[in-house]
Amino acid sequence: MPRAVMDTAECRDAVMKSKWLILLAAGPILAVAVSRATALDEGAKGASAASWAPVVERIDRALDAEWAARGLADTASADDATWLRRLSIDLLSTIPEAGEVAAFLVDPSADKRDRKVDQYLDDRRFSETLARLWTQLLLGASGVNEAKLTGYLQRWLESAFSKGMAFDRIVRELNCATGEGAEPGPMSFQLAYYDTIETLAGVTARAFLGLQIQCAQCHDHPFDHWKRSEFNRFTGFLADMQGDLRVGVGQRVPHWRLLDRTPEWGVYGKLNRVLRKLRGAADDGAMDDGAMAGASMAGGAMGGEAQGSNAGDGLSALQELFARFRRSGDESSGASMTAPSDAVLDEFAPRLPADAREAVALFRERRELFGDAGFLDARPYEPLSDQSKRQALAAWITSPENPWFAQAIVNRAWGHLFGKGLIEPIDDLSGSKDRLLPELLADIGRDFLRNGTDLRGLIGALVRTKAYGLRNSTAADPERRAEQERCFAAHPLRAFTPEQLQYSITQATTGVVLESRNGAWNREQSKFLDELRSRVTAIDGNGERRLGASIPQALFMMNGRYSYRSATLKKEGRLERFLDVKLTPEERLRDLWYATLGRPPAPAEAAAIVRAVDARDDEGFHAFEDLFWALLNSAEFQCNH
Amino acid sequence: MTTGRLPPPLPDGARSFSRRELLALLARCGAGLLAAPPLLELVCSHGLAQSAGGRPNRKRLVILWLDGGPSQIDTFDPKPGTATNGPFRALSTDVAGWYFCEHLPQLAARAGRLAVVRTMTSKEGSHARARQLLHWGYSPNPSVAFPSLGAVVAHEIGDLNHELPAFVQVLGEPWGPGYLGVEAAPYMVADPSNRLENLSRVGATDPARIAQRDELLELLDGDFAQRGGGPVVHEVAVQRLRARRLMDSNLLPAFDLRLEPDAVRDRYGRSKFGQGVLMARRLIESGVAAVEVALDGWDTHKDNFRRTKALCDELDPAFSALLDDLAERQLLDDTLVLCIGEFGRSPTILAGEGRNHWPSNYFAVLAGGGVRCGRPIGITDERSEQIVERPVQVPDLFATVAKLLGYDGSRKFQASTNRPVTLVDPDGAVVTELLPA
Repeated sequence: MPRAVMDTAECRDAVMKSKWLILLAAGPILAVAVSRATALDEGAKGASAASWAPVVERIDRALDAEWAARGLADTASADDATWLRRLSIDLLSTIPEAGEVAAFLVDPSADKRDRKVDQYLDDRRFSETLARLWTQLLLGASGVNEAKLTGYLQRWLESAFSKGMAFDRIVRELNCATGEGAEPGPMSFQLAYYDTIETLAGVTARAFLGLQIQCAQCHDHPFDHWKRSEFNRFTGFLADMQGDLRVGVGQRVPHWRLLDRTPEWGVYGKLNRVLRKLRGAADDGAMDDGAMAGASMAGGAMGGEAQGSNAGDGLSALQELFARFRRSGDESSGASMTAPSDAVLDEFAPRLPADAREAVALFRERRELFGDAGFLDARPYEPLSDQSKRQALAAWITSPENPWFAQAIVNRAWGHLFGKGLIEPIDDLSGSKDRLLPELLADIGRDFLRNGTDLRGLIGALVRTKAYGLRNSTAADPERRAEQERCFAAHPLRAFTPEQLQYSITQATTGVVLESRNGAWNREQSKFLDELRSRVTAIDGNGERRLGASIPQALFMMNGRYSYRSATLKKEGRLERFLDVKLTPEERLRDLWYATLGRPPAPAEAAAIVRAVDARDDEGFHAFEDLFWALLNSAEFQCNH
Repeated sequence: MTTGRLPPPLPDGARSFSRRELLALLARCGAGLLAAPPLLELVCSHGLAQSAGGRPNRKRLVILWLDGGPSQIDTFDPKPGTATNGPFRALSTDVAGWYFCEHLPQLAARAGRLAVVRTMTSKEGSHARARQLLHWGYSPNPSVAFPSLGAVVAHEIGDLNHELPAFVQVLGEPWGPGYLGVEAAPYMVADPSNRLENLSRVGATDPARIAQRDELLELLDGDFAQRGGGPVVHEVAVQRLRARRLMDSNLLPAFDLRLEPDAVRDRYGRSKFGQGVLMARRLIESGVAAVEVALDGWDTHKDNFRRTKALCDELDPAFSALLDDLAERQLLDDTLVLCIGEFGRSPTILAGEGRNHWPSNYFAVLAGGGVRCGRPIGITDERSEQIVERPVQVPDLFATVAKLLGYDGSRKFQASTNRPVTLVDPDGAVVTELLPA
């Protein structure tokens, strides 16, 4: 049932003779401040649509053939209103504002969808959306030590995306950043895992390569070909990473530090700390090496105990052990540190104080596990003197020859827009048994590299495909529906993320577009979002939190202070203002639909609503309040369709 | 709504329904809830079929979650006379030869009703990962959305069609249902002494208006279902129906602590946690399958002793009152109480009277639910630094809970497209010492 803009005559017919006339007067459309995109800082993201046009064609051809072969070619295209709402939710994380819907629907030009895509890709909220997606992916599912890092990473990514930084460069910065300061920027990613490099290895492979190697941490992979030794060698690239979340105790602004130093420095620092305690030196926190200790502690506790029955013995053993460490070179130019062999450490172990013994044991274990580094493909790793292990890893990940990188990013972008990837699960390129058109994915991957890993351009291409513009399945048979959706022959229904619901409710009920949503919120807004986040019921394949239906969410939508009640607030609420403005009855009905569902009411719908309202024995404000309530609580409002 | 890891769809019978049925469903939402139960059985047959194969399971679970990593030495595994013990004295319990810390006097007097595993062990020393491990029974794996223990219990033995949610969390952060889906999602209570959030209809309390709203909603949803929105309409309608049942439930007073005599509220302690535990008792009495109550603040890197004493002062009366009340109501045999945190704390006392994280040995306290009580399980060395005898891994504990509560931990679920996952980690082995003799 294609949905057309409501015929004005029909609508007028419906409201004529109705008590709505009492409520409605004539006037302009909802007065709303729709603020437009801020200007971009660089011209780096010029019109790349042209270079991506062949990709769009290739995708359309491949999917057309697939649909024809499977008998799935019968889904109609989505109408303009559905398409606009979908695009806005996917790219900007919010429904479109009423005024924008109205303008888009009456725009007669043939290229209006094209222009809308460009407009959204340049919108600051698009950079924010991408940044949030990647922040959740990189930090969301795992145990992040410092909540602040999430904000730092999001901010850096947002700025990188809005500057049009090439995606491979973003990935390189994330994977080998070093430095120190109050604002860790790209370091925020790896700093979050400073003491769990095994977790970091798993996240890195999953996010940037679409490979699930993390199970091989404990055992050889049962479904895939990854071996424990491969996991350990991959993790070996991270073994020299030393992070510190609090450089300089007592500073008001915490300093973060991330650098490359071999684990020998770590154990040396820890032993040094024990030694100083034994000597009774004042612990003034000034020991540089000591401050660096703490890296690569997985699960163990940092001992600080110096007392013991044989403190004297321990002291002399420690001093002897220190003499066996060798430093070479000048520290500023990257001095290296050599630790004694296992045999020597064995010999010392019984005489060391407990916490020194523990530090040495941990060091030995990790040297054994992660001492070697190796890539996941057949390429040999050859250490270079001017390249850290992390730099080597970052270069390998983003190299054009990497068999997974480009496809992983394309599959993920595809999944963000279509609900599922060509390969499912989205981040299991090597183990997946559910692959649709893998050769198409490889093709688009090559285009992604050819276009300088331009993620914005890629997303622009994907939303311009025919598949993205299809409507939902109306098949009654769930299997048929599933097949249509799996083959992208119909667009899926998707639950909102907390952010999408927050921005959409706020916009629908107040008419205010939240333009800058990162960091600058007032307390009410943050509380709102926290409330929604506590209602998250699922995390999708992209690591995005999704709000499935739940009792708390139903209560929140029906009775919560942020849902329709906001609409009825005197000052901020939309309803009061809406009723003040003089509008024709049909405009009034239409604008309520624009503001919530992003479409005009269907004639039958409008007629039925009017009948329902007419049948009431109350009138006025309450009728609209109830209508607003129903619109916000409708299933259609609460999902991306 | 079909997204990557959202819950599996309902079976065909429950999922595909005609517009007429849909309208009937929505109409009944508005037509008062008296007519709802048979209908709910229809749409939720999914949940019904799964709860214990039709056999009623009366078992319940209360989790007392000690967030931050409670010190084992300063609570249930004192080491009197050693340098690691700190200033607290050991207190003899009502079980000969068994000691608790002096700040748990009421629990010490009830040790005969407790089992303490002193040798829980894991490798997870960071808060976030260890919290996940102790809630999921699995080490975190980014590709699997695990359900928390409370959600599993709600899903497996709870009555998902009950007027009250099958899983309620009081205080703390939500621990979701993961791959089990929304029906087992926790209902969160942010403050047990406050009124519940979003339960009252504001703006439209008269029945006529409520019915009119629902009629409008029915029109909108019916239309959307016809245009392909059916699956979402179904999910939203079912949850709305359940929300309505909660709003109109005669059991809502279970959440209202003002109905308890002052003396009872005093016995649990007037802290948020104490009142939360009292709410847990009321919810269990009302048929809720799983309740988790959180007590935060155990991450004592500094000032361990003063803070641990203060926390014990909250835990001791609340836990004890819960045991007494459940026993008095003949509910203790069916209600397993599990008191755990994410890890223990280091034997070494740091500068600033702190203790660091210590995952290599820590405690879990169990009571009720048929658990074999009155003794400790496992022995740690004299510093409480290492396990001497009987290490218990987290999956072992979860396997034991499944056994005690009577659900099948080996049940498989499709957590993502090609990875079947069992409810309990197959590496877990039941701790037989905790089973009834």
